[in-house]
Amino acid sequence: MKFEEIYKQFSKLVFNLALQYVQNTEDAEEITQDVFLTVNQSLELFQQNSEIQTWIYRIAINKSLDFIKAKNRKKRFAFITSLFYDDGNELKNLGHNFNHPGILLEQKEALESLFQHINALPDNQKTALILSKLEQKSQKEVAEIMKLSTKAVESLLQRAKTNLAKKIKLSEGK
Amino acid sequence: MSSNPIDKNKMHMEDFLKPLESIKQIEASPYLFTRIQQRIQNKLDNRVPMRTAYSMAASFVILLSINAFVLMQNNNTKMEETNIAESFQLMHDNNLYK
Repeated sequence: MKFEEIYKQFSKLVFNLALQYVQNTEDAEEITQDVFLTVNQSLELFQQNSEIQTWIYRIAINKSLDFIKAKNRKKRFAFITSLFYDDGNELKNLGHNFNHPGILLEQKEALESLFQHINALPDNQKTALILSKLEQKSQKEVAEIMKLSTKAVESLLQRAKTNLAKKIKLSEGK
Repeated sequence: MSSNPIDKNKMHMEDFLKPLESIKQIEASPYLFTRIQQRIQNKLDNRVPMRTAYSMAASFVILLSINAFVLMQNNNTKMEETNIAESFQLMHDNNLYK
C-alpha cells in the first residue's frame, strides 16, 4: 500500500482520534503529522501480523499520549520559569485551549467539563474509554489495539467509569 | 433540564457519557498532507549521506592509527636511548658520592 493511499484512508481516523485526546484542532493536526511521519518511516518495517488500521491506531494513541506528556512538561517548566521571570505569556499560551470542532455549541460547556475529568484519568483508562465510547469500538477491537485481553479492557472501562463518577462527585462538592 | 452531565449525579454512569456520542467526525485540513510531505522532505534533506558518514568514520580511524603509531615510535626511541646509555656505561644520575 502506498503512503498517499494510507493517508487518504486513515487521515480522518487519526485526526479525530487525536482530537479526542487533546480537544484542540492545532494540537490534533500536529499529532496527525507526527503519526504519518512515523508511518512513512516504518512502512517498510510494518509486518502484516496485525491489520494496518490497528497498527495506525497504536501509533496515533502513543503519539497523542506523548504529545500530552511533552505539553505538560513544557507547562511545568514555564511555570517554574515564570516564578523567576515575570513573563506569563508563555504559560498562557500553553494553557489548555478547548477547541473541539466536532462538538455542537450548545453542548460545548457540558462536554468541556466532561473532557476535563476524562483528561485526568490514567492513560490506559482514558484510551479504553476513548476507543469504546468515542470511536465506538467493540471490547474485542479495543483489546486488540491495546494489546490486552477483553477481560482487562472490561476492567479498565469499569475503573474508568468509577473514577469518572468519583471525580464528578468531587467537582460537584466544590 | 440542564444538559450538563455534572448536574445529573443521579443518572446512571452510562448516561453521563451519552453526550460523547454526539461528537461529530471532522475532516482533517486539506493542507495537512502537503505539510506532512514537506516534513518528510526536510527530514530527507537533513539526513547525512552514507558516503559522508563512511568517509568521516574512515578519517577518524586513520587519525587514531597515526596517533597509535607515533606513540609506539616514541616508546622505541626512549628504549634506544637507554640502550645507548648502558653501552657507553654512562651515569644515569648526578649522585657522584654513592
